[in-house]
Parts: sequence; structure tokens; C-alpha cells
Amino acid sequence: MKQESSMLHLIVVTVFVGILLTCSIFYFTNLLVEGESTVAPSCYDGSVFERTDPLSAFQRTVYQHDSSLALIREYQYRLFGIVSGNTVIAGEDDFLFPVWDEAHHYSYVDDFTGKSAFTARQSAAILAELERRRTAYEALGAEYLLVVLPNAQTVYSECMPAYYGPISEQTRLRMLNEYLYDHGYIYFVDLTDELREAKSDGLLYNNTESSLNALGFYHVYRAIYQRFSDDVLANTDLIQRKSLHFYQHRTTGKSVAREAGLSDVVYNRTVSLSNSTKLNYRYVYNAGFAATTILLPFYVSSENTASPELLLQFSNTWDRLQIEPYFSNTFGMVTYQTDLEEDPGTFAAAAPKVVIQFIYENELSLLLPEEMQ
Amino acid sequence: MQLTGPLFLFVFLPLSLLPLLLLKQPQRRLALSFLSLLFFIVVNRNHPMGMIHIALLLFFVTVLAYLPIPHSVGGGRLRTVLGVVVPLLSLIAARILGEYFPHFYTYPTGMGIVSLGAVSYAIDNARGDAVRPKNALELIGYLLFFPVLAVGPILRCKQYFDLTEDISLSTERFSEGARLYMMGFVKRIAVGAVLLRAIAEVLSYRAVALPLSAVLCLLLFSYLYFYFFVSGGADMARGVCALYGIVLPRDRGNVIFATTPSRMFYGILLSLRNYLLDYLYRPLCRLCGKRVGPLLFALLTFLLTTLFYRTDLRLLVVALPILLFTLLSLLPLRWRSKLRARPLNILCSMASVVLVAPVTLALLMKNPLDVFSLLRDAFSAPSAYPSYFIFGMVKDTRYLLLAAIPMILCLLMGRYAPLLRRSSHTALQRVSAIVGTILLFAAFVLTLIYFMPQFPWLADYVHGPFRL
Repeated sequence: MKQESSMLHLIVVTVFVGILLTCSIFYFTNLLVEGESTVAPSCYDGSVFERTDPLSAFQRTVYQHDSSLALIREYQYRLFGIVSGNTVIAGEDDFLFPVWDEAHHYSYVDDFTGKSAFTARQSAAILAELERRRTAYEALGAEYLLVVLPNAQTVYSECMPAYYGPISEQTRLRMLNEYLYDHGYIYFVDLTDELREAKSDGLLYNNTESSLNALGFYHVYRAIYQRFSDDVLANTDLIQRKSLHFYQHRTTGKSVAREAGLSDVVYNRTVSLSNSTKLNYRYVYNAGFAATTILLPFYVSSENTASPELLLQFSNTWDRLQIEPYFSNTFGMVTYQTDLEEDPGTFAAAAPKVVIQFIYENELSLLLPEEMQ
Repeated sequence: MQLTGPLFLFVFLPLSLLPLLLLKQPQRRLALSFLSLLFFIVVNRNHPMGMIHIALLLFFVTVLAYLPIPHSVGGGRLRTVLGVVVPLLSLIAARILGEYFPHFYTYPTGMGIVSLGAVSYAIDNARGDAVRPKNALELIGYLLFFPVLAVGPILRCKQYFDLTEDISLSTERFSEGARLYMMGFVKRIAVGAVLLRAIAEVLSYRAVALPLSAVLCLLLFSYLYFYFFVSGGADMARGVCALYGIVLPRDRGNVIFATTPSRMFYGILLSLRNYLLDYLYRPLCRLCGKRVGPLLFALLTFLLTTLFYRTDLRLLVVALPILLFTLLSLLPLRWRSKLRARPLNILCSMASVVLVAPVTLALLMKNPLDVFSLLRDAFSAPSAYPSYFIFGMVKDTRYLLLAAIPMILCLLMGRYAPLLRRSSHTALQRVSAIVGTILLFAAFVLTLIYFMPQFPWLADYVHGPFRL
């Protein structure tokens, strides 16, 4: 027994020393041979070893080791389904949801749980702003419509972790929609219900970014198209779903995955419109933040057809590129503006009969006056 | 650098073991003293003011120890009074500055150990107990003894010189040390640090009233964190000592299964209790008699232990139930022995946890009295979150499940390991030793690779319920 226990002691000593020396050599070689190349920008908790003395450099090699942190994040996600930091939520079905939108001071979680609805004063201010925009465009001879694209977690609320419970009945968008409806304002479109219904058609959102994919934008187009007057519907052709072919492919994780350091672990299921889709339009103007297309073979003014000239305003270029094939293949002249600001030059060139602004649910605070944002 | 940090584990430990292996017995204590000095400098390299504070204290103690003071001016007595009063005042000043003026003064690692060590040296010397160090470096080596500098236990002067009299490096001792170190490492990082992060995550939702489930989780987490953090530190200290060939005594009582909150509270840092018993209890009994002495001792122990954990008078209010039980334990109650019988002892242990948990939570909060407002809100105010939201607050819920495995294993091993050792079945002993070792290594490697990089703050600084 004594001999056996001595053997065990010897094994313990050998393995312990072996582990220590292996780690020592590993980190020292990383420090000396590869230098700073394997050092991540920050530690797991976001802190940084800023001091440059040799002792801190060694600690930085351990705590800011790029592959070590990547390994932790990967296994954390694969084994426990969680992501590090407080900026991303890991949902079901490989969905990653953002937590906070710094640009708009918007908490996705608080809104999901119904704790950030606009106050009555804020809602009234938004109504006044929308009314102002509508009147201003009306004076210029155009109708105005605001389309709100819901967050990914609003449409795919079942993919949010169960502990958040079901999506609240008092989200900011829902409450605002009800408020505007109660006050008789009808030029505001919340696409939540339409997109939820369209989920059976396929994946509508990027799973690693709170943004719509090509199929999602098709259903946005379809939902908006159906809101046009009967006259327009009778003189234009809706692009039928069966005439389009979408394909899904895996790409590296998008912005939310990148933020969680998981872009190589959680792939984005990207849905794109097939390259074989017929583009029956051409650009008459395409520069920077604005582009105008006309339907082929030639442009006929809305004076002669019931197809109105459109001005579509987006907050980012990628969204407008994805929706372009649908609107441009349907309406005689469509101008796309990658900015929500009113621009007299673009407006004059577009000469629109209808102005449609697209904003995401997390951007609703843009409708508030600056002092209330 | 801390015992949990990579700098110690991968650089200091392997390099410092070499001279000890190469040197012969008489020089080993001296080598340890050098290593302790080096460790102290590296640990406090980012806190120059604290380092200067301790350096001045060391200088004072050394000068006082070797300066010949004539008997005509009451040399021995003066030496003792100065040797006790100056380190204590210096410690109190450091505590107050560190607690209330953290931007001005960072409490240095080891201040408590150095000060209490200096007091111990002065008293033992006056009693004639102290082994007089051969040179100033040996005295400094005792005061800065690095395995215990940051995490305890508190060694008395005589104890240190007895322990380092025979530094023998053997495979058995090294193996035991490695196991203890690994156990402490896992406890502190894979369990303690994960629990602390969970506590921070729940507390970040304090702006709204937390549901009762969240507050209960907070209390449980903080209690477990307190236990694992402190006991992990003690295990690591014992382990490191054993790696260097020194056998330290165990520094905690049967805390988790203690039947009174006072035993639970004091038992976690047994060396402080023993220190106070040695230097306070006897003089008090001698001065005030056997009735008033223990009462005064109970009061002083409560005050000193609580404030030793954290120098905030508001903490005493939260810890009052512990004082109550300490005073009750002084009464000659016959039924007290019945509490030790099962299943009553389990109920008593649970009740003790309920009473101690608020104190452990208060240690972590900026204002200790906020514990009461948390509890009040949990019971009275309607919570903005549903009760199950706790799983969202504690993002690492699944980690906690993982942490629960080593947690339960640690508890079971602590409870049943002595029983197994006493068992007459050699096969059972062998199997349990092998299985235990394999599990320990697995947990250690997992902690090294997976958990350690997640907690960079453990590398340099002792963020804990208390600071030594």
C-alpha cells in the first residue's frame, strides 16, 4: 500500500509539474516568438492590460490570448448556449440578438419586456412630427408613409431565451401604433403582423444581425404594395412569390456575431435573391446616397399611367439594395435615398407622388424632437 | 501577482522552487525570506504608497527588534508597547484610508498579515516565546511570508519559526501541496469567481425592485462565494507551503455544517480566532475575571472579526445576529448539546446560513445596510420582473450548474475524506484516492484553460469579501 501511494504521489507531482511547465512554455513562446500578434484587443471581461512592463506583458499574453478567448467563447456558446459580455443574447435556432443600440439609446431587452414604451408626451410629439412631415409632403404634392421594420426579436420572439417570457403586449412599437391609430393617424405602417405571418415562407431575418434578408424584404414590398390604392394596384403588377427564387447559404456571422466574437462560430444563414431574377429596369441616376431607376422599356409619367413615382428613404444602403429589385420592377420611376433627412435636391429630382420612409423598430426615437431623444 | 494568477503559477512557482531544491536545509529559510520579499514587491508594484507604508512598518519593527533599549527606561516594556501599538495603529489607518479614500490610498496586499505578525512578534518576544531570528531578513521573511501574505492564515511568530525550522522537500509533501493548491485554485476561480460574477449580474438590476427569488439567490450565492473564496485561499496557502516543504495547519472549522452562525462566521478564518484567543482571551480573563472576561472577549471578537473583514461600522448592524449567538453560547444551556443530534443539526445549519448570508452579501455591497432595503423591496414592492427573470439576470446560470459540481464535490470530499481515510478497506481508500486525484486534475486543467482567462482581475488584485 505504501509503495502504491508513493507511486500515486509521484504521478501527481509529475503531472502537476508537467502541466505547469507546458503552460509556462506555451505562454512564453507566445510572448517571445510571436510577439503581440496573438494578443486580442481586450480580455474576456473587456478590460485591457495597458502597462508595458515585462510582468504585465506576460499577463497580457495569458489573459488577452486570442485563440484562448476564441476557444472559451466557442465552447461557451456550443455547450451552454451563452455569449460573453452583456451586449448580445443567444437565442434559439442560432439567433443572436443585440441588447443595446448605442446610437439610439435603445434597449432591445427592455422593449421586449415592455419597459420602454413612449410616454404620452413622447407619443404626442411623434404624432405632431409625423403630421408635420405628412403636411409638408402634401404641400409638395406627395403622400407620405412611414414604414416600421420590426426588430428580429419582435418577429422571431419565440427564439428569444425562455426566461424573458413572451414578448410584451406593451412594446414601444405596438403602443405607438395604437396611439396613432386612436388619434386617427393612418400613414404609419407596422409590419409586425405581416412578417410574422410570412415566416412560414422561410427565414426573413439574418440570424446574426437584426436586419431583414432578401426574402424578408420581398414580404415588406408585398405588404406595402397592398396598401396602394385600387387604381395603382390595377395598373401595376405585383411580383408574385412563385416567380422568384431565393437561395440560402452560410456566411460568416454578421455584426451581432462579430460583437460577441463568434463570427467564425455562429454562421449567418443568408437568404439572397437568385441571380437569375430578371431586372426589368435601369438606372437613370446612381450616385452616393441616391439612385433612380425607371422601368423598361421606357419611363411613362404617372400623369399617363397610374404608376406613381416613388421616393423610398432608408437608413442604410444594404436595405435599399435588397428591396430595389421588387419596387423597381413594379413602379415606373423609383428614387432611393440612403438617408432619412429631407433633401430638397433629391426630392425635386425624384418628383415623387409617394414618399415612403423605412425605419427599424430600434430607430423609433428618431421621430422624437432632438431635446426628447 | 496573486496565488491565483499566471505570473505566480507559471513563472514565480517553478523558478522559486529551484533554489530551494538546490540549497541545503539551513539556507532554505533564508531563501524563503528572499522569495517573500520579492513576492511582496511584485504583488504591490502597482501601489507604491501602500508598498512604502509596509516598508516603513517593516523598518520600524526591525529597528525595534534590534535596537538596544536600556532597562533603565523600561526597555522591554517600551519595546512591547511600541511593537503592539504602532502596527495596530498603522493597520487601522490603512483600513480606514483604503475603505473611505480608495482614490487616495490603495490598501496594499498583506498589510493585515504584516501588522498582526508584528504584534505577534512583539507579544511572543515579551512572553519569551519567540524564537529570535538570526538576522533581520529572517524577521522580514516571517512578516512577509508569501504563501499567506494575501490569503492567510495568520501565523503567529513562534508558529512560523517552528514550521520553517525543518523545511523538507519530499515527493509526498509536494504531492499533497499540489493537490491542496489545485483544490484551492478550483474553489477560488471555477466556483468563487463565477459566483461573484453572478452576484454582480443580479445586482446590476437593482434599479428596479428585485423579485424575492433573485434576492434569495443573491444571499445563497454570496454565502457560497464567501465560503469558497476564503477556504479556497486557505487551501492554496497550505498547498503552496507544502510545495515548499512546510506543513501549515488547517485554517477553518467545520463551517458549512456548523450549527450556530457564530461558529460559521468565525470558523471560516480559524487562525484569526486562535490569534485572538491567544493574545486577547487570556489577558482579558486575567484582568476582568472569568465572568466578565469571556463576555468582553465575545464582544471584542465580534467587533474585530467583523471589522477585519471590512472596516465599515454599518456592517456591525447586519452582523448583530452573530453577536447574539456568540453571547448565547456563553450561557450554560443544557439543551444546546441536543442541537448537535440529527436531524436538528441540519436545521440549525440551515438557520445559521440564513443568518450569516446577509452579512456575506453586505460585505460585497457599497453600503452594507442596502441588504435590508433589498429584502424589504423583495417582500413589499411589486417587482418589475417576473420571478423567472433571475435566469436572465444570471447569464451564467449554466455555468453555475457546472460550478455546482466542483462545489458539491468539495463539500463531500471535505466531509467524507476523513471517514474514508479511517476506513479499514484499503481497496476503497486506493480507489477513492485515485478517483479524487483524477477529478481534481480534470477540474484544475478545466479551470486553467477555461475559467482562469475569464477573470483577469484575479491576476493582480485580491478583490474579495475582505482584505488581508
